Amino acid sequence: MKCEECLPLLDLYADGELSPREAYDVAAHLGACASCEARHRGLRREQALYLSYECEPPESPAFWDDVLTNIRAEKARPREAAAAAWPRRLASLLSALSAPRFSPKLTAALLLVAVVLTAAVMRYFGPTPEPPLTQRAEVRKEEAEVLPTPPAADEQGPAEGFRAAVNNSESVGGRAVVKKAGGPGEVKRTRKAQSSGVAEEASPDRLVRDAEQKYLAAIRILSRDVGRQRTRMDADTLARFERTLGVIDKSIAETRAAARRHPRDPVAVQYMLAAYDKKVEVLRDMARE
Amino acid sequence: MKKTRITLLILLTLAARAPLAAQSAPAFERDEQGHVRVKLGHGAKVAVDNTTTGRIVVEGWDRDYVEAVATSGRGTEYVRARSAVGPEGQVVALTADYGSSPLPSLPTLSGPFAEQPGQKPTPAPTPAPTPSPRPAPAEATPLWRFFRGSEEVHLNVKLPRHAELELIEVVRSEVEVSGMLTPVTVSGRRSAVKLRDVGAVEVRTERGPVEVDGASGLVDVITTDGHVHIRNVKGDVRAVSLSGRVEVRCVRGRVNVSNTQGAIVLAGVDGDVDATTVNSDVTFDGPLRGEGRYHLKSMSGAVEMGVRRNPPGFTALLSSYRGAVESDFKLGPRQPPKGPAGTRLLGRHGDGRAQITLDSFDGHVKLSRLTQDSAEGCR
Repeated sequence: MKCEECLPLLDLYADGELSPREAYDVAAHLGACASCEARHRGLRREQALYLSYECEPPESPAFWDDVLTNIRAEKARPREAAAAAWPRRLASLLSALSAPRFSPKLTAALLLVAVVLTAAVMRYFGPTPEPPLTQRAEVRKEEAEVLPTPPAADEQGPAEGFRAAVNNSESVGGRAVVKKAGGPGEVKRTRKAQSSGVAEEASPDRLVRDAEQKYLAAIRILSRDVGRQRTRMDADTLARFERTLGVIDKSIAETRAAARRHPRDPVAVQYMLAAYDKKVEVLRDMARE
Repeated sequence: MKKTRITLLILLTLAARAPLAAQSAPAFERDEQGHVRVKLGHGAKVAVDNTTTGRIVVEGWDRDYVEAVATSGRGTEYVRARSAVGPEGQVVALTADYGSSPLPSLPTLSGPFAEQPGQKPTPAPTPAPTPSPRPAPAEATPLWRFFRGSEEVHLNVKLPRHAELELIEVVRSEVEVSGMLTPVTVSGRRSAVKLRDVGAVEVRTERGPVEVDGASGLVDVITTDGHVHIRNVKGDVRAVSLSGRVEVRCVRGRVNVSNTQGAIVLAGVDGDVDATTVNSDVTFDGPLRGEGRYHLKSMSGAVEMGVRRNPPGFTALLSSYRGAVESDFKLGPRQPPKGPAGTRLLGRHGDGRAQITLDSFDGHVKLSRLTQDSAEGCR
């Protein structure tokens, strides 16, 4: 046995808690190693010292008599005395609040932090208007993405969306963050609520927003993929595609305005979705070029 | 002399208006059972309405007069019967109401409607009445109406098959129309609509299922939130639903359907097909037409087309940007995409005349062979 093996076992050896085999090995090592033996002797001395202390004070015969006397006196004290204790307790509480560790400033700061934390937690776990990109989780693989809010996506014109993707920017639209992890078109949403698909009882308004978000997500993915292809396209083709996208974006803006005016009109909504669909189609053609 | 001329002029004017007056006042007959009957003139239209949330059932029959009856849980109720001659001819309006209701004209109907209860009815082959006590009138107080408002009165109207129906406009009433040769137009808010064996169909609802079984003309259904089930149509079909399953079977014309949420199921369509959905699956089963165009598309759902064992020649383009593509037919080599273009399968079978396009952005796409034709049950 070496010293490194012996030293951890010394406490147990001194307490007699080692197995016979281990105790034999330790004893053999102590006989051959002066430093470990010195350490062992020190332990034994400490043990002897602790054992020499009186652990429990001797109870005097009058101890329990005093306890009983005090209990009886407490019970006999009138209620007024208890009531009179309230101001003292209140004062004690106020003094505790006014103490440096519970100063008004500190209390206000703590309250503010609590409010902010609550708001953050509710925002994170609360319902979100963003839809899942797809109901079929099995066909999605990696890549985390947060979709933009509809107004941000609206404000993002054709050129902006396209250029943002072309530049491989991590900030597309309002608050989109695309973490690139692999091949094209593989997306997994990070938020837990977005993996369950669109609820069947969702309102038509909600469904329309979800559908729009789905198209916007697809457009962003395609724009990014097209951006990777862009250097391989000739200038004429690229210009032609961009002109087409501009026309489609205008159509999207117009149909979207109509759908916003008549949100429960299925025909207006279908026109808007058809415009989005056309953009997806063109971007897919571009990706294939 | 002058007075004589004026009198003569007045008499002539009245004589000229007499046929019109006769036309504007059709003969209503009301029997002990609460049935209202009226014989329709040539080109007359029928308007049906319900002041309660009860059903409206319209049935076409081979007789030449209209018969209406209103019933509720407490027995026979009142049918308001009025007629008017407007720019488009005579209109007979029948409205279900509580038996105890007062008789002012209804705000939902405009025009010079006037009930003619005292007029002698035109003889009609009415069935022999069976004794049935008229319901005891309930208190016609506003308070009673308030609490009684939940009672549904159902209107049942039978009319000649060739009679033209005015727009049936309801809020919550269910509407059932059957056995008509003429077009049926329904506008509802929260209404189930069921049409069987009618002419052309136009339905607009906000909520509630729409079912059409048998139509000889164009079927056009638009609903915000409700399932649409259409079958046995001789004309074209257009169905749009924001939220709801759309099922179309046995259609001789072309079909154009779209929705946002809810499966689209198509079977036995002879004409061209265009189906688009965002969140759900699209399926098509049935025989292909030699020169047909079939375009099925979903944003995130699966797209599947099943064709019979020996279909006519077709050219198929199957594509999915992020899903798998599968075909039971040998369509030639899989097109290797140059860039990140997803999976595409383009190929020809036979003479390649029919055009099939199946596409999904995020879902599975499949063209399969059917062992059994699901459209065999078509009428």
